[in-house]
Amino acid sequence: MSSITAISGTGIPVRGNDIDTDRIVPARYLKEVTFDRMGEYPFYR
Amino acid sequence: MSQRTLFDKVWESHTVDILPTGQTQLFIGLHLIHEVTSPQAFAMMREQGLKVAFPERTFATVDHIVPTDVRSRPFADEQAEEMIQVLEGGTRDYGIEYYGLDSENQGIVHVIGPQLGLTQPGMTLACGDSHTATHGAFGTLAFGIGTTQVKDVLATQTLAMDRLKVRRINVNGKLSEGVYAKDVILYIIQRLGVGGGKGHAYEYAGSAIQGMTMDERMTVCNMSIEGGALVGYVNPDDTTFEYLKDRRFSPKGEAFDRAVAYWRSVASDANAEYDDVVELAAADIEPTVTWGINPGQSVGVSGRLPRIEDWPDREGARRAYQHTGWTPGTSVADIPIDVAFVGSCTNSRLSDLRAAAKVAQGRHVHPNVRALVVPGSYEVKRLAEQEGLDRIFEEAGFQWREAGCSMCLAMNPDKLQGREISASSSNRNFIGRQGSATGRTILMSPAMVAAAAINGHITDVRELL
Repeated sequence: MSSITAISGTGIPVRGNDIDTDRIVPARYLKEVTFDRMGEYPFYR
Repeated sequence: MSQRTLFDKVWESHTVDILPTGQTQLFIGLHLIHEVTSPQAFAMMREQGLKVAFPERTFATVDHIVPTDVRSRPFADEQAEEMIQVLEGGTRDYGIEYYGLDSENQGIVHVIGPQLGLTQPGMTLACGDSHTATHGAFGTLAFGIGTTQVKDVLATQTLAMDRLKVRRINVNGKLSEGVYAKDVILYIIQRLGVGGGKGHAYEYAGSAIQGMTMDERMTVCNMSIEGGALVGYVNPDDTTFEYLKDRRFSPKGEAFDRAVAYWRSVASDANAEYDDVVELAAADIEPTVTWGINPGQSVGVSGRLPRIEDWPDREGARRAYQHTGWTPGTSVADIPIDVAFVGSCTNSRLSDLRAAAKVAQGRHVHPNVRALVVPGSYEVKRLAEQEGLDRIFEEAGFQWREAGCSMCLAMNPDKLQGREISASSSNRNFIGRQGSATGRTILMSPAMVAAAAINGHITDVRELL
């Protein structure tokens, strides 16, 4: 197994403190059974 | 002479190795899984061709997405149906004991573990759920983990963990009438802050904690994570052993006596060294309610909503008022409610339902309020019905439901609508938590929820006892 030394991607600054988990992904949207469609839900209001 | 805490002892006895990262590889004695955080873990297991290392140390149930009115299959919610099918498939393929909807052992994962005697002192436990520290009531190191860690535990029965500091929280003295375990933990979180426990395990102690039943200790430990502590526990004592006697998975006969001797030995030594000790007085705690959007934003029921400039975290208070629309300085008892929810892994055990029923008995839910009681497990429901609590609730106008997580997090059909205000015995008042992005949640004890349901506004339960 090779070690992971670098990760690249888009960084997004998030303003404010105390970002609770229900803001990151509201619990009611945690119903996906794979990771494939999870991209739609972060910070969903 | 040993000077170790329970945390030190249990951590060290479960240490497999120290990893190159400096983390500890910790053996996990018991793994509890459910339908929300296991599907992706099972998918990763299959992709990587892994086997479950210790299926006999793994138990599954279904709780988060279960409808609490009509439980017939297939569920109306297709996503929920898919989730339960993946759990059924995973447990079948990997040989894991599964307590499904047709099992008398089904219920909220943190209610059934203790109820079945699976949770025992001195063990390590993991579950893909934030409120796993509930099991700490037994002197168990219980970790709430994420989905990728669920895969780690399935595949290796170990976790890579950073060692925590230990903060002892002594709650000294006697709680007043009408003050419950829920008030104690809300008070602790308010005093120490929602991030105050970061990097720490909380050891709850002092005469008020020692005097608590196991149900009450579970309520306190349950919300450790809301104070930022990954782990919370109470040292095991005679109350713990008495609870565990004759449970389905408890050792029996001589084996039980041997277990008790071991369980006693894992408690923190009298002269154990802590990173930090906090002293609180039980007499200072009154029935407590939250007024904001995190569990640390709380106030005694006789008080007023704080002025922003008086609250230590002003920005947090400002954001809270932006969401709730309430006016600082308002008397707490003037807040009306639309929904009353008794349930969740924090407060859905038999003693919680009894406390709420005592308030509801002979009274009626306010016409503006929709009130529901959701037992924590099939077994809690059965015992409650045996002593007639269901009739007390129904005669008072509460809906009596089937076991599950329900409106704690609204993954099932039980949800707030629009701007509704909920008096809730659950654990999180985060924005959107109870199913409506604009809804408002006020956390409190089950007895306080019943009092609010009766009067239609926040009420000091001591007036109704």
